[in-house]
Amino acid sequence: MIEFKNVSFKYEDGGEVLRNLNLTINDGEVVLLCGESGCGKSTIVRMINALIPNYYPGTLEGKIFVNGLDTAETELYKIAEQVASVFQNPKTQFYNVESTEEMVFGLENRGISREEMKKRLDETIKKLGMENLTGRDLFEMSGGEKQKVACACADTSGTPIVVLDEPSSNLDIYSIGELAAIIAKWKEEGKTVIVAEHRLYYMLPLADRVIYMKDGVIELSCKPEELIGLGQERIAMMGLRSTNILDIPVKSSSSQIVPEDHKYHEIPKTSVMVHGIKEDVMIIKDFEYMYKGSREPALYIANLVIPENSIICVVGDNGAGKSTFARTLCGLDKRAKGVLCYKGKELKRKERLKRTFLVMQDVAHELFTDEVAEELSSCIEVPEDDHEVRIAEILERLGLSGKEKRHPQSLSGGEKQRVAIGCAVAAERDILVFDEPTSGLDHRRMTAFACVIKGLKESGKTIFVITHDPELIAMCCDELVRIGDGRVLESGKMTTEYYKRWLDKALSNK
Amino acid sequence: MNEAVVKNRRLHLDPRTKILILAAVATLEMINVSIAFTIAIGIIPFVLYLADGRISGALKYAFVFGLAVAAHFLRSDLQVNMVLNMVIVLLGGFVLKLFPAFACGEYFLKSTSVSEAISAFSAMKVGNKMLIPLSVMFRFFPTVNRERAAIHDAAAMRGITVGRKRFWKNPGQAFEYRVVPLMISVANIGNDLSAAALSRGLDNPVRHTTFTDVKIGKTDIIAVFTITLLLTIVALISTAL
Repeated sequence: MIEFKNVSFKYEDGGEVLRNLNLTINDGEVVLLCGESGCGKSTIVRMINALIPNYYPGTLEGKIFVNGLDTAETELYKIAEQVASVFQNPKTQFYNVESTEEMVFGLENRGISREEMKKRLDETIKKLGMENLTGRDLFEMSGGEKQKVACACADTSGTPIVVLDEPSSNLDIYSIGELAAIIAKWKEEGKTVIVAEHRLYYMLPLADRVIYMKDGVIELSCKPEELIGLGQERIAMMGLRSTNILDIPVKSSSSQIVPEDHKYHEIPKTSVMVHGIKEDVMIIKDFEYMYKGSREPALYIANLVIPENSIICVVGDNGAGKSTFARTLCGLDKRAKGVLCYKGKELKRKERLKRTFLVMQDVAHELFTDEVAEELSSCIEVPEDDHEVRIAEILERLGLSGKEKRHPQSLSGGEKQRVAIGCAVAAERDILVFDEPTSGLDHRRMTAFACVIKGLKESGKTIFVITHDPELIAMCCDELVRIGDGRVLESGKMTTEYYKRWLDKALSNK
Repeated sequence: MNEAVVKNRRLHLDPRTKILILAAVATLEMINVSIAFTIAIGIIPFVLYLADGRISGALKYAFVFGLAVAAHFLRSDLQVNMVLNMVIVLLGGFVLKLFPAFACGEYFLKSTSVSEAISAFSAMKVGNKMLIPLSVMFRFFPTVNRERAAIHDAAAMRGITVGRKRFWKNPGQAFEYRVVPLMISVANIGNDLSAAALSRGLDNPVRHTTFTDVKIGKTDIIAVFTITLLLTIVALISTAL
C-alpha cells in the first residue's frame, strides 16, 4: 500500500509544487495520473520511488509510506526493493551499454546469486517476449525497444510496485500497444502500477482509477469510464489528450492550392497537375543512405512529390528511417545521396543545409548563446541595419516578447522550441523540419504548437513534421507520408479515410 | 547471449589488469630510460587495440605515434625555422610521453562494460561513495559522443563547423557555441543517470554480484608477464648499449 499523508512539496529551485496531498493507493491497483505539464504528477512518481526527498532536494512536509516504509527515513536501496521505475527518457535511464547486463543490473546491486539472476532473466524474457532484445547494444536500439528493455528491468527486479513516468513519450503507436500489454501483464500478476501520462487512450482500458491533477492538487479521482463520460470537449479543456485516438475529427485543409499572386511567382516553379489544379511542388529525388558496412540502403526514396507551402507529416515506426530522412533532407549527412528539386533548382546537400532548418527533438542541443535575442541574431548570415527590429518582430509573433534577455536554456521546453523556430525564421529558411515536436506535450501545449506551425505555413514556409502523434496529425496535417523500412509506403493528401487507414496499420504494425 | 558478446572480443582482460597496465604505462613513460624503452611502451596500446579487434583505432594510433617517433629521430636533420622546429619537438615529445597513456585509458573505457567495472571496483574495495561516480563515468563517454554528434548537426545548420567560412570569422565564439549546449546536456544526463541508478539500488551496501564472470585468469597473468618481460629486456639492452 502507498499512502500520502498531508504531503506538500516544493523543489529547491521553486519549481512544481504539491499542496496538502492525501492519497492512498491499494495493493494491486493500476492508477493513471494525468494533468497538464507541471501539475505535479511526476512529483508524485518521484515520491513513490523515493527520489524525492532522497535525491531531488526540496522542502517536504507530511509523510509518504510505501509498503509501511517511511520514504524520508529509508535508504533508497530499500525502496528499490519495493518499487521499480520506468522513466520518460530512454537515453538517460540505462546504466549499461549492453541490454542483458542492463536487465540484471538491479539484481547485481542487490547481491543476488548468478543462478537466481539467470532464472529471473529467463522468466522475464519469456513473459515479455524479449528474445530478440538480449545481448544488444542499447545505443543502437530504437525508442520502442529501449522502453521494452526498461520494462524488462522493472520486471526482473520483481518488485510489488512499478511506477512509470510518461513512458510513451518517445514511442510509436505500435510500441505503445506493446507497453500497454506489458502493463496488463503486471496488472494480472497483482502488481501495483502507477503511470503518469499525457496519452490517455492506451491507459484508460487498463486503469482502475484515474487521478486528475491541477496545480499540485488532486482535482478529480474517478473510474476511467467517468472520465470518458465527461466528453471530449470537456477533457480537452482540462488540458488532457484524447481518450480515443480513432475518433478524432480530421481537419483536412484545402489551402494547399496556391493562389496566382503567390509571392514567389517570379521564381521558376516546379509544378504538377493535381486533380486538374496546377500546384507548386517540391520533388525529393534519389534520396539514399547506407550505413557503413551495409549493402542494403537504410533509406531509399526514388521520387517523392510534395506540395510546397503545406504541413507534411512523416510517420512510421521507431526505426523506420524517419530521422535518417530528416537528416538527409536537411543535408546534415555527408554519406546521404540525392537532391531536392525546389523552385526550379536541384538542391544538393550543401545547398539544402542553407535552405532548411531542423528543429530537434532535444531542442537544447541547438541553442548556443546566452540570450534569446542574440540566439536569433546569430542565425542571420548577413546582418542588415534593421535586423534588431526584425528579431523583435519574430519574437513577438512567436509569443516570446519580454524574454529577449533570458538565457535560452533556462526557458521551458515549449519556449525553447519556439526560440529554435525563431532562428529558422531569422535565417530565412523556407523548409522547416521538426523531429518529434510534441512528444511529452499536454493537450494545451500541443495545440499551441499546431497554431505556431500553421502560422509558419501562412507565412509561406513548408513544414515537415516527423511524428507519432495522431492528435497533432489530425489537427494540422495537409499531406501524410508513411515510411517503413526506409521506403515511402504511401503519401497523399490528408483525409479522414487516410487517417483511419494509417492508424489501423500503425496499431497492427502492418 | 552474454557470453557470446564477451567471446567476440579476441582478448578479454580483467578490468583490474587493465588498470594495472594503464598505471604502468602512465608512470613508466615518464621515466627517461631510452628512446627504445619509450617506443616499447608506445607499442602496448597498439597491441591492446589490435587484440580488442579495433583495427582502425590501432592504425590511427600507430600513425600518430609513428609520426612522433619520426620527429624524434629527424629533429636534428630538420632544416626549418626555429619556431616551427620547437613546435614539432614539443608536440612530438608530448605525443611520445603522454599519448600511450591516453590510448590505454581510452581502451580501458571502451573495452570494459559497466557491470565489469563495478565488480572490479568493488573487488578493489572502492567505497560506495566512489563507486557511483566511477561507474557513471563509464556510461558517460558513449553518451557524450552522441550528444556531441547532435550538437554538431545543429552547428552545421548554422554554418559554424570547422569547414565553413562563418566558423573562421570568430572561431573562439564558434567554439563556445559548441561547448555551452554540450555542458548543459551532459550535466542533465549525469543527473538523470544517477537518479536512475539510485532507483535501482546502486547504493546497496551488500557485495554486488555480477552476471558476467569477472576473474583474473590466465590471459591476465600472461599479459602482465609479457609486458614486464618486454619492458625489462628493452630497458636493459638499451642502457647497456
